[in-house]
Amino acid sequence: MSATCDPVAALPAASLVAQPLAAAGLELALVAATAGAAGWLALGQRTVFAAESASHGLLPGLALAAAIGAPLAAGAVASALVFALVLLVALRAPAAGRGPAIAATATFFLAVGALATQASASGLRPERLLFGDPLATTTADIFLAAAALAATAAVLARAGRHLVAALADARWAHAAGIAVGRLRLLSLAVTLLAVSVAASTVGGVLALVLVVAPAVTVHPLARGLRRALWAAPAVAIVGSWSGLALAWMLDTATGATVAATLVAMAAVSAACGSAARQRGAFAPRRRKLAGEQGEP
Amino acid sequence: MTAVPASRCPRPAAANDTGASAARPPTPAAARADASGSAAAAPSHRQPLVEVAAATFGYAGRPVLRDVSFTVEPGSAVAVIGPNGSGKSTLLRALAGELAPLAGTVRTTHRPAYLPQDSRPRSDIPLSAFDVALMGTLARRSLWRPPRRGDRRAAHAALAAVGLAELRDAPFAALSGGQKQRVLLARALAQGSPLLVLDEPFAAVDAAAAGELEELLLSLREQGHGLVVATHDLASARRFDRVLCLNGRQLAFDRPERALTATTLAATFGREALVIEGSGRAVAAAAPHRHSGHGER
Repeated sequence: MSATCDPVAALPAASLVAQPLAAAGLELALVAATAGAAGWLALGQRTVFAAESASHGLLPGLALAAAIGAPLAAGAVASALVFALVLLVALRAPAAGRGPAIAATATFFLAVGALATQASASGLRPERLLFGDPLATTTADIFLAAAALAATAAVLARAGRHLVAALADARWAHAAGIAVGRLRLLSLAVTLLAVSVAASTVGGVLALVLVVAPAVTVHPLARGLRRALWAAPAVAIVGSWSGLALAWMLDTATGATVAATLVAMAAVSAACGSAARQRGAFAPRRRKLAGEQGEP
Repeated sequence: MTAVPASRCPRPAAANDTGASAARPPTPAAARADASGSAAAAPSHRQPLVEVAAATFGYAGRPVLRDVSFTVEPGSAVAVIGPNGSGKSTLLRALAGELAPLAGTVRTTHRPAYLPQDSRPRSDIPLSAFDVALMGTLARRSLWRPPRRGDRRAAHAALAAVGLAELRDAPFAALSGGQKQRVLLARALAQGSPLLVLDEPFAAVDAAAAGELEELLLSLREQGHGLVVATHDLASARRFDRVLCLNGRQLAFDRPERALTATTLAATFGREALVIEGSGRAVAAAAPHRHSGHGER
């Protein structure tokens, strides 16, 4: 292969050596797999709006972690916990209502995060917290992302079917003796963990894309739970790596490019799914059953 | 007073306030402890799976259904009929353990496989027919114990029992109404309980599919299951072993030919029942009504 065809040789900045690229790729793969796996839970809980707000609420933790030199993911997880507690209190406010309580809490945390960033003497770039910088990945970030992936995988492997049952048919699950309340809390914890590690990589503003977009991408084409649970992390990894490569080649902001790539994949998938559905590709392979008619 | 699994309390002598005797001969209870299929866990002897004695049910202390006493034995099917708001769903919720009686007792030997009227897996989560059937096995597993090979075999067997083995990989959302009801029945079978409590399982399907479902349900008696099925279809109720007539209170619990008389039906349904004059036999009741919220009140 000639030098002109080598994609690495075509990369723009001299400072972008192989090691940051490899570190960023590894970090993104770990975070994307975590986020992709948790995406079904975020969709299943129908709490995407709350999760989006929570991702903004991570800013204070991100700023504090950056200021003291701690891994961003650790700061994001801590901030997520505080955000969840404050939100629980806000939701109890009799006059607020769910939507305004979530919005007000998220905005408050965003403001606190902005002030913390401004007050920081560490030369912290606010855009890094908002839009991420995978190329600034540290070894600690990678270990934390790996730990988050391991925890998420363990939860889904041991309780994934229970989680989905509780989300898909809560009424039946409760009647069957499945601990729906505990599973909802577990689902929320997994989602918050995924949003937190995603925020440390692609920023607080773009974090939810990494969680939700892969599940949305897989949804129109999925035919069963097991395939969907495997496909979403795979899509997340492919999309993240594609975004990373595009960012290097086009010299664009990495977090934003990754997010845009994932959203574009979701849009293409939705279009393909719609076309396939119109062609009847998702009709069940039907055995002749006397007397049965399709639902209107 | 609460519903008490008999496994945790001494069993009282079987009581049947209506005086109706068991009509069906003992049927072999299919063993299913190995999670090998759709058959129920072997019930002990012919002891009733359900005993309800002088029970009153209601919400927030306000009774909506009084004076209910009946039993359900292994291998028998009980149809629960009554107009909308008569207390059918309330009774079934109590049998499922969701609702404690205000007075009296409800005893069940097993947690029933309960199919609520408004229960259906969401269509925006990509579940196959097999995924839904496999949910049933989760009822037997603790939170951190995922389904095992035996559970998967049980889910496959349950789908085969309802005639949908070939559609096991089909998306649940793409199935017809009748097929969905069959899958939900497979899920109930996969729970492995010898007691099935089904709230209007024929409500969302056409007549032909309802007939097939009815045949399927009644065939489960031969495997030792006890069935409690709320229905608006009086013709269907005639094929059950017992009929429980409700309208705010228990009006009858007896064999169909003795329970479904014009007099009892008039007391049960009032103007809602359609009765064929001459024979004095009612063949159909008011159109099914889908409830929302917490069952009938």
